[in-house]
Amino acid sequence: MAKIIKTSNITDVINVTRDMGDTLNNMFQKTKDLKVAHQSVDAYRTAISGAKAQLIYKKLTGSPESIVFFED
Amino acid sequence: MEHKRICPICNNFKSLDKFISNISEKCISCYKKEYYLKNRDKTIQRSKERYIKLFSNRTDEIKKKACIDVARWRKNNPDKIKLVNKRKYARVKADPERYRKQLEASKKLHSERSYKESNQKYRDRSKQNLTDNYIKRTLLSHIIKLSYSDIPQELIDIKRKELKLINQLKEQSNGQNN
Repeated sequence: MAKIIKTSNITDVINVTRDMGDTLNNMFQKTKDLKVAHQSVDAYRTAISGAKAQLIYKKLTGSPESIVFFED
Repeated sequence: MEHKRICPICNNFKSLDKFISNISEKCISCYKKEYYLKNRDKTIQRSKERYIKLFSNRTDEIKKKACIDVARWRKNNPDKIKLVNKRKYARVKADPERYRKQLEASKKLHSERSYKESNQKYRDRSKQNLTDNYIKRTLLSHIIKLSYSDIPQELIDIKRKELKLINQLKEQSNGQNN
């Protein structure tokens, strides 16, 4: 059965996806399976996108004043 | 009691050790000035040769060490640096025309010199070593509103891991093709 991960905000998403990427990266180093490597890259990319989105949100001022999901 | 004499050229009272000998009329500094004016070209040529002899054998290691020493000295002597800067500023203020000419000459020199090659080398090296600045550049290539200082170290680390993995995959695929 697939493992279910619950996240509440962007920091959670970043941490979880980064950990996923690390785990898959380690797996790739052992098995040299390309599918695993691509999944690891995807996980890292998600983490980077999240972090970037948070950065841009922090830079924004005005409307919307705050988005709960992007708060630390 | 200290014995002093007048130098007939500069008209200054000077102690006897400032003269070449007890018999000579001129003081050492006046004698040097006169000698320099008489044999200007010869003196310049000789000092150039001495300079080349001293510094032509300097290896990169020695140059690097000298740079580090200078940086350390500058860090330990901020007061002296301030004094030097003050003097320089006073010189510039006294003769702004000369300073302007110097600036124009240096600008001309830099415009003629090409930095393309060295910049490319720097970029290649940072790409190979995945330095922080290179990663910041790749992260901000499409985002105009952010600056390098905004990017947290955590994001840089994640991007570095991703790039490392991608490079590894590329190398692997190249190896398979060959």
